[in-house]
Amino acid sequence: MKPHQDSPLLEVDGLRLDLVGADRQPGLLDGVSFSVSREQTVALIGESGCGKTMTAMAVLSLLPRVAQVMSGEIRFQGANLLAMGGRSLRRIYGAQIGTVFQNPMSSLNPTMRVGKQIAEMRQLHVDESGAASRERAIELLRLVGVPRPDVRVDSYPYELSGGMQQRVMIAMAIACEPQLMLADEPTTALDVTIQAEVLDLLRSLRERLGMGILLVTHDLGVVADFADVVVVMYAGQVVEQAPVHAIFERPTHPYTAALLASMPQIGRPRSRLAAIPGRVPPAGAYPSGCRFRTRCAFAKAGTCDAQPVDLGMVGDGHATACLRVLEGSLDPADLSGADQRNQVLLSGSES
Amino acid sequence: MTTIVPGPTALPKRRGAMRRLLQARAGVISIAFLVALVLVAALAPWLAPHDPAQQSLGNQLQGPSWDHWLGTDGVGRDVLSRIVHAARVALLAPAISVGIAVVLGVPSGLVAGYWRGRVDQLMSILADTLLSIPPIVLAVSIVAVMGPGLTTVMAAVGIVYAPRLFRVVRAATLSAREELYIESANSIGCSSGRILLSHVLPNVASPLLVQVTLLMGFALIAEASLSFLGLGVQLPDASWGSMLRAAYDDKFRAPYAVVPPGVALTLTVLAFNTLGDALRDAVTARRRQ
Amino acid sequence: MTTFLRRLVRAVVVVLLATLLVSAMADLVPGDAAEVVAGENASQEKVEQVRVQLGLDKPMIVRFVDWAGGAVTGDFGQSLISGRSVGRMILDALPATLSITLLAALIGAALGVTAGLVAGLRQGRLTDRLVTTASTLGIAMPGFWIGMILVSVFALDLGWLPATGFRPLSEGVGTWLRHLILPASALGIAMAAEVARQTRGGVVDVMEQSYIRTARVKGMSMAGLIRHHVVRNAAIPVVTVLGMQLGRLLGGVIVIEQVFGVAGLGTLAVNSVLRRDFPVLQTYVLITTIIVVGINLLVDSSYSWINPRTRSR
Repeated sequence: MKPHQDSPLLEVDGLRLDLVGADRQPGLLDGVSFSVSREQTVALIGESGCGKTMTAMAVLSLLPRVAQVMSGEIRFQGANLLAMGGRSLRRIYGAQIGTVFQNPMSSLNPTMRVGKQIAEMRQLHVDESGAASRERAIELLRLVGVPRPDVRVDSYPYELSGGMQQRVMIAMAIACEPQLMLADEPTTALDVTIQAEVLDLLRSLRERLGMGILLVTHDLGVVADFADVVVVMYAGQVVEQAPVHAIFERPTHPYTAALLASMPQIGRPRSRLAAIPGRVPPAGAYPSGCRFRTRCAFAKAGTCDAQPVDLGMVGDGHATACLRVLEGSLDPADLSGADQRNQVLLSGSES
Repeated sequence: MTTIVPGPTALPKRRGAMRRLLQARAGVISIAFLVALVLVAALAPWLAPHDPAQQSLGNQLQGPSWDHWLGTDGVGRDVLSRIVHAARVALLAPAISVGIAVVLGVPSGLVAGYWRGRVDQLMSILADTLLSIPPIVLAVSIVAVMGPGLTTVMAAVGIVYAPRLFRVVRAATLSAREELYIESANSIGCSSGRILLSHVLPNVASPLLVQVTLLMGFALIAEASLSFLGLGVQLPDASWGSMLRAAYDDKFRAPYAVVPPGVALTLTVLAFNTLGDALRDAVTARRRQ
Repeated sequence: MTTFLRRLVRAVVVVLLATLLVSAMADLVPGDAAEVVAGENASQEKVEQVRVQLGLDKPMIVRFVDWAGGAVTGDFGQSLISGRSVGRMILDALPATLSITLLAALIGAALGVTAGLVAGLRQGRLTDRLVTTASTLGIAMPGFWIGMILVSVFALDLGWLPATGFRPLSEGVGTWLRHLILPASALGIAMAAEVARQTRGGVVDVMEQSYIRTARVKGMSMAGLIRHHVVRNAAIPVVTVLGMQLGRLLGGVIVIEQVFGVAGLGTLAVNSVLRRDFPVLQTYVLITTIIVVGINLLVDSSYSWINPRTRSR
């Protein structure tokens, strides 16, 4: 079935995930929904432990046995990945969905030459000879900016620098010209200068191949530079979703505002780095209602602890899960200016 | 259906803690077993229902009965009593063997690993040589020189296992030494001996403890093998190995007489092995912290 | 290449030393072959005569060098007790030991690696726990006791297989196998237990690695994953344990021969020690040491082939 240009490539719809087994953790992911279209870059952002990696693993069908999907769908080109058998999935991953992981050194097989690992990707999905795959691998290495690709094709991973290894991973991911790329913290493990190079590479490839990209990251700087749409996650829930400009200029959720405030910025008057007080609640011990309310300067009893949380539209392509903003008792403009730290210190945290 | 794969994920550390608990439980059980065994061995004369040496020629190779829980052996002796008494050998023999192996292997391993050079080369060649000879042949040769008997067997087993300990200690010393080079730059004036004792030894102690525990099990099997061959414990004393020999000689009359001594051996070796594994896990866990 | 040469030289030195060491030890044994040959009631002079005849009056080093010189050309001397050519004695005893050992190695490797692989792939599930329990038990059980139990059940109780002896191939493959199964299984099971354990460990380590995850998102099937990614990376601990266990088989077969009443190399070796038959003992140690050292050499050399990272050292 040929997908329409404007129908989404990837749709995560109401994903609910529990951890079963010895340490039960219900509601690890609670109603996560977002979509990625062709030529669109969606950034999934949040602190560690917010569930963004778990979501990515669900999209990749890499969930551990103890993680069970309770409800929801993950649709790729209209078909629910969660309902598909192994053989169908294997035709999608690699061919239509390419993946780049965080740590390239450990994500590459140390005993196999890099060229062979790239060629292997071709061999799995494309009917071509081994020699042709190898030629393609060399081309791909050239494309991702690896110098002397005809020599490097026979290198082992440990012979390459971190930046080179990540380029190899990217080459592998795009080897079959996938429609969607999933990048899980692709630049986090790299030196800062190399990060910029790799991002540039991804940008050029994105244009060239027209891929949709799902970028999982905690780095707001990367998001600002690279994403079209931002999905903010906290404690297993999506708390805000908006085009990238809107997120930075007009956040509509206290958590997003606090996240932005905690970013060190050149040009700001010198002050103490604003940190979000408190800690992410351990899974299984989530507060009722809004999961952020125990750390939120704007939490109001009766509203934030009572109702179930859902995303509501507050603008063009802009949705928030803040109950107070949605009911109208909180003006988003108040979020950016407020000094979160002082507010919490004054009002104390509510349980 | 989601395709599940075992792989690295952001999974709770509690699963590791669960496994450690189980291991700890296994370790606890094996310690309990070994303590019980020591008690049995120590209190053998009071615990054994019969005199282990008393023959009863009308009563040979009886199966289990109320009077003889594990039956009788080829000359009518109570199997249970013999097993209980032989527990002493089952604990002493490995202990002394491993003790000898420690005395021979540990200091030499320390010296070789720390000072390296010619001394290390010579010792390593000697260790490799001893290790290339099939252990049984080496042990039999030693026993042949010294004459059969339990003491000889213990010495033989100790000598056979010494090179293994040498290797472990040498390796641990080598790696400790690597780290020391950095420290040595700062600790000027510290005598080698002191460095060895206060820095190397603690590093070596943990893998050594693990190896020693595991070796106890192997030493027990080695003693049993040699006694089975007739070279170890001499009559009328019993070890589980020699009991196996006697039982096997009577196999046509009583095919399952080999079970009790073998079970005793297996359980004891199992206890040592489990304890050794639990120690190894505990040591690696601590190191990771 | 130079590393290999260095290792080879060392190996030769070890072999020589081992043979020398055991001969020296046998020399220390009180009494000597002359007494055995001359007989219980022989007079002192008779024993002396025999001693000179056998060349036992010469110092050990001289005897050893003589023997070694001959050994290089393939002449391993004569048994001091029977006078038979040592080479001949070894060849006569070889088929039995070789058959048992090789079949045991086959059983041990095939059973152990397969069980370990399956257990490692299904980590935490029932299969894994069964394999782990079985291998833990198998390691704790003395190998010769396993043999005894097999005899008790399959030979004495059920009567399916013979309890003792070895029959050469010339008597037919069926007969040859029937007599081989129990002793080879005893050795093989003991070996498989340890091999399974190490293989499982290696496979588990590999499966936890990120590159397995990468292979998965490439759309690779489990079979392809095993073939291309697991095998090579788990190979090192597996090859190591196989090498070690093959060495231990040589020792284990000695006791198994006793259990099953087989007149093989092991029995020959033990008797030669007890009867101070030096040429036989020296030759036996030479052969087994060469085998052990050879296996170690192969294993060490294979590391750099398996894991390219070790090459740069």
